[in-house]
Parts: sequence; C-alpha cells; structure tokens
Amino acid sequence: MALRDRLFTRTVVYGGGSAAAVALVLAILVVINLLAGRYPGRLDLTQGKSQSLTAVTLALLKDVDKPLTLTAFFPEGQGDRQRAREVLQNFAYANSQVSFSFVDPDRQPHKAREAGFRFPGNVLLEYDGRRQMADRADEEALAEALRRLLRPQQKKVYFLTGHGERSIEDPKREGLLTAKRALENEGFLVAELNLLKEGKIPPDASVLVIAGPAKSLFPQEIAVLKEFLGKGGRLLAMLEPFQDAGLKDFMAGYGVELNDGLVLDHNQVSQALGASVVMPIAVKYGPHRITRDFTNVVTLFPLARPLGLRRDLPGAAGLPLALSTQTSWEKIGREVLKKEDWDFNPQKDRQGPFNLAVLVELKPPERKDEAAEAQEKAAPKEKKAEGKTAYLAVFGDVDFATNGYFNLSMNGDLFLNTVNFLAEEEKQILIRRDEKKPQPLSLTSWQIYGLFFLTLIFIPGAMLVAGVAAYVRRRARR
Amino acid sequence: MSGIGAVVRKELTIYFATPIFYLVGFCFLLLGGYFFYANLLYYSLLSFQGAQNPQLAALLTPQQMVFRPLFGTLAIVFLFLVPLITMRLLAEEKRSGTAELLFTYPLTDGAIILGKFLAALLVYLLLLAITVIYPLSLAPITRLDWGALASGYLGLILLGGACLALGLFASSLTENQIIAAVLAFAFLLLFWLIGWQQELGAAGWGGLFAALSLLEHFENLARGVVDTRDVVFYLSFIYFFLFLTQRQLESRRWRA
Repeated sequence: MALRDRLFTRTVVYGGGSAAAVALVLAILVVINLLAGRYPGRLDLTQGKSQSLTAVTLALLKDVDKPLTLTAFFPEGQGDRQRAREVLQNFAYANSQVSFSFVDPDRQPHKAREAGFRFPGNVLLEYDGRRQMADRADEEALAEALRRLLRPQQKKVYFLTGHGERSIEDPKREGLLTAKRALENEGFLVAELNLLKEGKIPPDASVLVIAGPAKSLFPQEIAVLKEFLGKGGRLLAMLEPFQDAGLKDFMAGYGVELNDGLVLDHNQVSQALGASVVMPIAVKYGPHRITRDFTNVVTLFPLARPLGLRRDLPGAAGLPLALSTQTSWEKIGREVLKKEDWDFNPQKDRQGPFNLAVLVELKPPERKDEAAEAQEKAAPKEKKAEGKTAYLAVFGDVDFATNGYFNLSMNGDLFLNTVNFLAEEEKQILIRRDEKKPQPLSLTSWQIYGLFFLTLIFIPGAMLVAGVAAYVRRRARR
Repeated sequence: MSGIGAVVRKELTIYFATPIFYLVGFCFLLLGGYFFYANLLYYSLLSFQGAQNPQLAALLTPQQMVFRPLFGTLAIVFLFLVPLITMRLLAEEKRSGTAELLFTYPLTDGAIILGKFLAALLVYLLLLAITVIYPLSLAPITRLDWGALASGYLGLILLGGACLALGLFASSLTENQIIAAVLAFAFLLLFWLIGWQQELGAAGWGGLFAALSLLEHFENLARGVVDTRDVVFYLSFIYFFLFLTQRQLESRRWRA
C-alpha cells in the first residue's frame, strides 16, 4: 500500500477527526474554566458567614490597591496548614491584588530567615515596599498586620489611671484587658496615662478614656481635661453609680447631669438573657453614626446610673446613645445597694426610660476678637487644629466594657464603635461578627445508644434486608 | 434525545434486581454510619474538655466537628465504590453481546450514554438521600447549620457525578467488568491525589495539578462555600468524560 493510501485509511481519517474533536472540546472547557477562574463568584452558605472575612477586614481590604503578597511559613503536613489556606484564600478572594504562597521553613530556610520567620504559622505581608509579619495565620492577626502596613501611624488611646480606675492589664472579670486587646486589633495603640505625673494630656492622644474611677480627680486634673476638650479633644468617660469622680460640675458644664441613682430593670427580654434586676438593658439607641446599625440588638449595663441631658446649652449638642427600657426605674441613694430593696416604689422612684450613654458634640467657640484674629493670621494652621469639634461621650456604667461583659451581646461593638467614632476611624464603625461561639454537645447515654442503633444497625441493616429480599425474589422467579 | 427515560428505567431495574446495589449501599451506609457516630462521640468528648479553650471554640460546632469530616470520608468511601456501580454499565453489554442490539435501537449514542449516566447518578443520589438521616437525627439535639449542610451535599453530588462519568468512560473501554473497575479506580485515584503535587512543591505545575484535582475542588463545598470555579470544574469534568465515552462508542464504526 502506498504511503498516501496508508495515511488515508478509514481508521486514520475517522480516528484523527475524533481526536481533533476531543482536543477541541478540551480546549473549550479549559477556556471556560480559565474564565471562571478570572471571574469567580462565591456564596458562603454557612450560618453567620463563618467562612468569610468579617466586615472590618473587608473594609480594610478595600484600601489595598497595589499588589499585596502573603507568605505563610508552615512546615509541610502540619494540620493547621489547611485552615490557614482557607483564611488566605478568603483574603485573595476579597481583593484580586492579594496573592499568597506557602513556604516550608525546613526546606527553604534561607527564605524563612530572610523574612524574619520566628515560629510556624508566621505570615509575612509585603505591600508597597513595606513588610509586616503576622504572628498567626488567622483573620485577626492578618488584619492587624495589614492595618499596620496600610497605616504606619497608629492612633493612640489613653486610659486615665491614678484614681482606682479599671485596669487595662487586668484579666479578671472586672478588668479591661479584653477591651484593650479589641482596641489593639482595631489598630489602636493603647496606653495608660497618669495625669498627676505627666501634668498634661500627650498631644498624640486621639481619645482619652476615664474608666470607672473609684476616687475623685484633682481640680488641676479636671482643668487639664477642660483644656483638652477646649482644644477639640475626644473624651470617653464611663462612670459608676454613686461615684462622680469629682466630675459633676465638669459634666454639667457640657449638659450631662450626674445624679446619685441606680437604674433597675425587670422585663421579659432581660429575663430571657438571664440578666438580674440590677442589669438594665438597652434596646433603643440614639440616631447616631455610632449606633446606626443597632437594630433589634441588646446591650447590657450591669450596675448603671442614669444620665441627664440638658439641650439648652449653647455650643454643646447632646444626644442619647443608649436608652434603658420603658420598664426600668431609678432608685436614688447608695443605701439601696445595702438594703437590696429593688421593688419599684411609685412615690419615691422615677420611671424609665433613662439615658445610659450620651454623646455631646462641642462646637469650638467662635471668638472673633482682635487677639484671636491676629493669632489666626500668625499661625493659621494652629488655629485650624484648635477649631476641631470636641466630643464627650459619657456612659453611666463601666462594667459593660469589662472582661466579664465585653463579648456579651453587642456590648463590645458599642464600646468599639464609640472609640472608633471619637478617634475618627469612620470605616471601623460597624457591627463585628461574633462567630467563635462554641457549640458544645453533650449526649445522654440514651441518645448515644439511639444514634448507634440508628446509624450503625438500622440503616445498613435495612439495606441488607432489602438486598436479601431482592435476591430471594429473583431466585423465586427463576 | 428521546429514549433516555427508557434506558434509565432499564438500568435501574437491573440495579435493583442484582445484589451489587445492595452490597454497595450496605458498605456505604455502614462506613458512613460508623464515621458519623465516631465523629459525634469525639465531638461530645471534646465538648467536655474544650468549651473553655478559645483555640478550639471556633471548631466546636456540629458542622466543623461532625459533618465536614463526614463529607470528606463519604467522598473517599464513594471513591472506592464508584467502580462497582459503573463497571457493568457498558462492559457487560459488550461482553454479553447486547451492545449490538442496543445500538440497533432507534436511540442515539448520546441518549444511551446519558441514560446510563443518569441511572448511575440516581442510584448514587438514593444512597446519599439515606445519609440525610444523620443530620435529621441530630436536629432535635443541637442547632445545625443547614446552609453549610446543603453546600456539602451539593459538593457530594457534583463529586459523585464526576466520579460516575469517569467510571462510565472506563466501562466503555473494555468488555471485562473487572478491568473496567480497576481502570475506573486507577483513574479516580489519579484525579484524586494529583493535587498533592502542589503540597510536595512541584514548582510552577503545582497550580495546574491542583486545578485538576477532584479533592481540591471539594474542600470549599464541604466547608459551606459554593464557589463558581468548583462548580464549573465539576460540570466540565462530567461533560468531558461523557463526551469521551461518546467518542469511544462511536469508534466502533470506524475501527478496523
């Protein structure tokens, strides 16, 4: 057979055609998959979107507009590697500028050493010529490192000390360590400040927090606070009942009235939450950026005082942030704690709702005298800084932000939103997801037996019986 | 494409009359039941120890502790059983000579292939539907994440479809059922493990291998995330192997 004939046998012609068809289909499918890879769609069907990034991280990733590379250092075969991969995939999915890779520090020690690798699970973030190492490959640590990369200057939050305030290093129930860590995860630097030692509030203070002082502040300290607010400072005061910390007149000057009362509450919602009568709840919030997303959510304020708000003061516009319920009432006087006489007395007690948290906006005074104008001309920039709107946020309770209550309901979000607003971190004012609630399972012995019988005996057994029945039926037909 | 229904009916009759379906079902449900029960006990044990451990807290949910590992195990169990479901489909027809008869019916090759594939898929879906008893039995005891469960089942359906399409192709290559089963198993294992190349650090090609891996695309669905890339991959995989099977059947007309 000539070569030509051999080339054009039926087998070769049809076989070639078939192979070409297969190749064509394969090529089309590859293109479809490449397109799908380029324009991915993703649907997280889990409860509370537990397999997606939180709103805080997503807001942060919006600012990434140059390539961001994540290098995770994991030895091969380590169990956490898969979980880390899922987190990194979430980052890469949220922003196409993000790419990630894994490096085995044992196999590529030079790369690891160069990156400053310390222990397995480290992730190196590189962005715009800068680099930052995250300790762990979880969302919080990565977001924190990314925040540092995106914003080298961190804002500072000071907590006042020296008057028996709650400590930010205290890990016990009444301490503020949880709040401090949460603030750090939001990108703040958190530090303590003793006004008597320092004499003034440092110029880098974005927010000053007074967290439940047990003793009164000295007049010179209060003068410093006044000056701070006068220059557009941001102050968050959380005051316990029956302890004004010497701030009664100071607060009254801004329209916030402190009286010696305790808010009590007893209703179905607080009962369902397991809250006692001294733990008023807030379900209604003021119309403000801080609480904008707070619909149908509860915050708890254990041992809280009500706050009065005067709205007729010029230059100070106050509004309530959180209100107790209609069913709440107020007992006056410290004795109430000793007597434990909680019941509502219509003659003596005031009926709610009360302000549990308020925010006062302090407009800078518009001085138009000659001296000020001269100063303005001499140093216009300084004048501009001094003309900043000051804010004073007052909470009638400090316990709501302590370790014991911070992660309960929306308490932590209310605290973080308030600090973020005061520090002008607009993007971080939102509701954080509380995904890490464990769901422990305890089975009774009957449930264990029942499940054993159902899954290991009954279901496979039924299949076996059906098989035997089919076999017998078939044999009978033969 | 008329006649698909007839092929499906015929295949299902054979499945339910022969012991293979019941044997496969028994093994699948016994192993599935065992792993469900074992995961559940382990979860209950860890709940005692780990409720205070924040590292563990995120994992301590029925989805993470019971169903996600269960979906992974069911997928592996199924990998072993697919060759048994598909080995007969075309090989047996060729061996017993009924293939010639089948091909002379007024049916297109596509209809025959689709009918056989759908019949195998229905058998698989039936087995899968029985496993829904597991979450249903847990529902009165604890709160379940139904969205994630739905995603896991979607993953098992897509993965099952892909495995069955590959098994059907293997069955079209030979007239010996044993060879068909061995071929299907070998192909499946290859597509299952190909992603490991990436873990072993095959530079450059690792991504390609991972993209071809049946296992790699299952991970997202098992954890409750439906990604269009995974769905497109499985559908392409199914289509490609059904297309290959069709070409393989057609080749009888021109092969010397």
